[in-house]
Amino acid sequence: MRSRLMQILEDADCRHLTAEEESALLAYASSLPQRLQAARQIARVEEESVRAALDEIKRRYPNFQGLHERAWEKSSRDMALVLRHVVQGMIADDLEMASEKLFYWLRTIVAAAGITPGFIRDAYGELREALRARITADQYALLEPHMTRCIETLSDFPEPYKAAV
Amino acid sequence: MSAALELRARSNFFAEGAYLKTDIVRGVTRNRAGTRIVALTSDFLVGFRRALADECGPAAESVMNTFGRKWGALLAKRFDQEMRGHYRVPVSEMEMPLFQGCLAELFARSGFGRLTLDFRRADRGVVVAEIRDPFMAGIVGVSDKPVDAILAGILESFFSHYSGEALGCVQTECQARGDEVSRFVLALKDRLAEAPGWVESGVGHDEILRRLDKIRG
Repeated sequence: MRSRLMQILEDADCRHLTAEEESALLAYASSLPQRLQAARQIARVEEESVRAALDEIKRRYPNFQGLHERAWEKSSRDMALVLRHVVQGMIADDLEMASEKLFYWLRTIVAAAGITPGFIRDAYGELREALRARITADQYALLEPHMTRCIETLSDFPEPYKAAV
Repeated sequence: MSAALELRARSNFFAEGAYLKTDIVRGVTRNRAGTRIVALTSDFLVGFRRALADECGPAAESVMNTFGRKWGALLAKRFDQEMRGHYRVPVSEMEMPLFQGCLAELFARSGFGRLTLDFRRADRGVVVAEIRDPFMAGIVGVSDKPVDAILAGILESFFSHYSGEALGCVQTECQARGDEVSRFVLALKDRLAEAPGWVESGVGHDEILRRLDKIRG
């Protein structure tokens, strides 16, 4: 896990930055205000986006509630936690950061709970759509690759032998 | 406060960037709970394995298994303390999926390999642990026998600690032997008494599970 800044500095070990590295660094630095602004907007709409995503998932998975203790409360908590890590990755412009901090661990947990990869794709796909409707197109363009990577990583586990969704 | 926040957020104790810190001046690496961590290279492990083979001959695997059991007992105690400190619940009260997630991360962060637990036979008293890229199989190279005796010992102690029963652990498949992953079968020690002989005589993992089904604990 390396931020864009650290990645460039580490690659430039024992020498000064090249013009390309300077440009890359400046491009990242100049994108930071937009990234932070997007992060602020996402924080503002987090609760309603999570609620909207889960309302849709409740409709599509009516049995889920009966299969897990405090199912929707925990889903809401975990979805917010995931989103905050997605946003951190977006701020750092690092597609791997959230996976290494949270997603590999969390997917072991959801797999062990009998949750299916399809459920994860549906739930976080709904979250992505809920966010898309609540932030600007430019903000969504910054968020989208991180949200997509999140869905790919979190749902990358085998089907459980006994699904609980 | 939203309903989501009434439940305690459960961050990953083993998160990249947060789990290990090295004080480069002192040359000391600790995990976030303060436990000192020392890296062992493959050179060390190969040397350790050869020394045991030279000193103990055919008993070397058994010595490594004993070493794993002692290590596993200490590891379980530390896991208890660190998980209780971070999640504020004893491991014995942790939800099973969280326990599995944290245990898999502990193994991964320790460089043991990627652990997956299979509880499909838990109602029959058997748990299967699967480890992809286990450390010893990764460095020993090709072998005609299972080589992950240390991991078998660790798993045995770890699950005995949490189940409160005297469990045994037998390695039934090994990456060094050409299997896709290393697999371990955990069950009551008495029930597994014949299993090492079955592995030795070439009985496969699935057949061992079938035979164990016929031996009720």
